[in-house]
Amino acid sequence: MTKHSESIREEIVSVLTGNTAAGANVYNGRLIPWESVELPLINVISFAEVVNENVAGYGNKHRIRSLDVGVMCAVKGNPGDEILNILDALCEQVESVLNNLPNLNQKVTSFEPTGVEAPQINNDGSQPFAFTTATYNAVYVQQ
Amino acid sequence: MLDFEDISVFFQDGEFARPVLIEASGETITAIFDNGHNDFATGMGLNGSDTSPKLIVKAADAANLTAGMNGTVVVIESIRYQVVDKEPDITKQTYIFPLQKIS
Repeated sequence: MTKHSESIREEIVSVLTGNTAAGANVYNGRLIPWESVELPLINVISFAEVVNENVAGYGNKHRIRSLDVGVMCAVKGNPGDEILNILDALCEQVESVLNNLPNLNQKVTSFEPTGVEAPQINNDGSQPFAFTTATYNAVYVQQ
Repeated sequence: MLDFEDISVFFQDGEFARPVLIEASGETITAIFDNGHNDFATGMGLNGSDTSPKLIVKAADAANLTAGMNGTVVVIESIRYQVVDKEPDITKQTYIFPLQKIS
């Protein structure tokens, strides 16, 4: 991991904050447990990072790095609500923001969606909730 | 001699039980409100911290409550809940009704 992965997560948090149903509840690698009243919520975390070949002509100083990033979306509903529809709506809002930033506001060389994990549903709490993670791949040159 | 079949003391308001308003009928019953902590793993190291509200109701009052998609709405300390399930107690003296909050 490099400092660059931190700035990528921070940029994702910045562009999502206030632009989805999660409002200001957008976090960078949050670990403090959330409470039901905080949902909907988005948590940005980085996954694996692959270091690729050197950039031609620059020796070991410039390497192409490929970072996988997860944007976890969590929502709650009322009893009987179609909770997956609520989750899909938040995911679509996330995608409508991030999928229009092919270089993440010039933070990276490319920023592409790679999928959405299978949603998880929980019906044992004070309210039904669901969550999933939209995954992205960010490619940048380490300098 | 202690009468084990008489559980009414546990369901007195001010003891273990509290008033529960049945919204549609306006009737109030007394029942034990259990709202213990419950946490959930959501992956990536981030957990949810929640509660699992449920009502423990005398069998005689259980007929006032319906569970499911159109479950009875009850009001406990000004918070509205829907009855989502019904779990019989093997003693058949009480029923447990899991609740979910209506926001």
